[in-house]
Amino acid sequence: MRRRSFLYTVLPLVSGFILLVCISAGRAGDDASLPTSPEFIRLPHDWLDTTPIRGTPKLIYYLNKFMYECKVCHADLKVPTYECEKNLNVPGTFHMPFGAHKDMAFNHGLNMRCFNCHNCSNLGTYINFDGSEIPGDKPVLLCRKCHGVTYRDWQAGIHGRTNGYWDASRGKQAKLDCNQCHNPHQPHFPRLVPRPSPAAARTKLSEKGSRHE
Amino acid sequence: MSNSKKDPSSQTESRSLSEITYAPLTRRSFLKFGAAAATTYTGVSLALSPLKNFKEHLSLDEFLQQHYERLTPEKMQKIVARIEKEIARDYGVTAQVKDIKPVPGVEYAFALNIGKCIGCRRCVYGCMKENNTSRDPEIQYIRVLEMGKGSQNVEESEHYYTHDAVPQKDKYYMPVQCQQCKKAPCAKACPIRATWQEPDGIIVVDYNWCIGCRYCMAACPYWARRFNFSKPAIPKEEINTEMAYLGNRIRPRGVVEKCTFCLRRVRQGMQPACVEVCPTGSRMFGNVRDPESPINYILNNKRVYIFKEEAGTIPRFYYCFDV
Repeated sequence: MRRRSFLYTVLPLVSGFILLVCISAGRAGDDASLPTSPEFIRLPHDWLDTTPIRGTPKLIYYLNKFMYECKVCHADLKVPTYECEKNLNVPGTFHMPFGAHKDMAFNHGLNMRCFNCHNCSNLGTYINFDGSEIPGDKPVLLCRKCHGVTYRDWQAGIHGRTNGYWDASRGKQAKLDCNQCHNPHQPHFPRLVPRPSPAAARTKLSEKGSRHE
Repeated sequence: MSNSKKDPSSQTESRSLSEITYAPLTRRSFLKFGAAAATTYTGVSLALSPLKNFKEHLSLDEFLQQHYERLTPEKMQKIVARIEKEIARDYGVTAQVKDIKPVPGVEYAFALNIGKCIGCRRCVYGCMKENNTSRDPEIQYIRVLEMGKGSQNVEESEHYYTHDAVPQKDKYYMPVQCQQCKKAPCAKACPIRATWQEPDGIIVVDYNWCIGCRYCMAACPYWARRFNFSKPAIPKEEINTEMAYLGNRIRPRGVVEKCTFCLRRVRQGMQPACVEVCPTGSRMFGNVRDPESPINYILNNKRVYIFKEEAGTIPRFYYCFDV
């Protein structure tokens, strides 16, 4: 008797609930699997604004509107890169109560080792395949280590935007650095807020137009 | 006036005015006729009163203006001065209109990487700012199509998409603007050669020659051209005061306009506005006759296709992708 009542009441309820959860999860509206960084999706007010998506970032750590050079917390380890992990007890740190680097998202595919790019002997620079230094203000020399095809396209002017003049003899051409568009730890180009749809579908001009407004 | 009252049926003698009008010219008839005449005169002049402002819409100089290709530099100077005055009168800004000639030995081409375009429409609005297109009614030269992955189904593409963030999953985005075709059907359809192809490849419109028949709009397979149904309305602070005669000057009512590859910019060596603002860098522009230009790199190294190739228009706009 007891077994039967369990079979007929509790089991269907629980399984029904699980089924509902699965169905509703599958119907999640806009797909959220592509990365969306809140700070990138603002719309510039000026329609001819040419600021790159990430501005001009430097190899520096931002926390609560302060900038810290890596050396402030991490002493240079003075070991070859392949020994960095062994010695990584971060000497010279003082406790950061909020968990440094906790706010960073890491999603660079198979490139999951920090010291593939960062130089533990001289934080503030990057490292090359042969252990030589790459200056911290030249990220393109770092990214080209693995992204050679993209680098070749960038040199030709077709990867990334070229601002200024198409005719180099009449004016300057400005090419962007890799990290002015791509976050090195989460390099997929972020999603942006689109500008409003054409007026035929809008009843009044608004920042975020909707056909059913 | 005859001196005697004769028999009206007599044909041989001249008749008085009063006899001819079948009424004697009395005070009464004069007043009646006078009242009718005054009413008619008032009505006709009221009906014709909009013509008082006709000078604002079309001055005599503009009416007698020659086609662009026949203008001498001196005539061009006068025309440009007149246009600047009209813009100052109508919009309250001091514009600088120049007639910029094509650069010799240069032919432009445009490439767009649809693998990189995310459909953010910043090119659409950058173009509006640069080219002084009307905000109300809104005219946009570029139309971004949101298409489903797997085929180029333009009929079922979404023009009016609105999302919180783009790109959306399983969609790709294809902006379309004037393709500046080598065999342009619009230039062929124009009955009066108000639109023609310049030596550097740009199809231009002489807005003072255009009569607004819109044959070119019917001929274009890409829906690239827009018509000014009313006088363009642009807020004063958003007007781009550096203008070109064949390019981004503020158009009058009743003429056709379209993308000109930012003629004012590119003939001075600068990048077009849509290339400058694209955040992903999916737009590329250059001189196709220069073997080192990015355009030639794309044509040589990337997979490139042409929109509506079967129309036979041979556009100068190439869509490419990275794989």
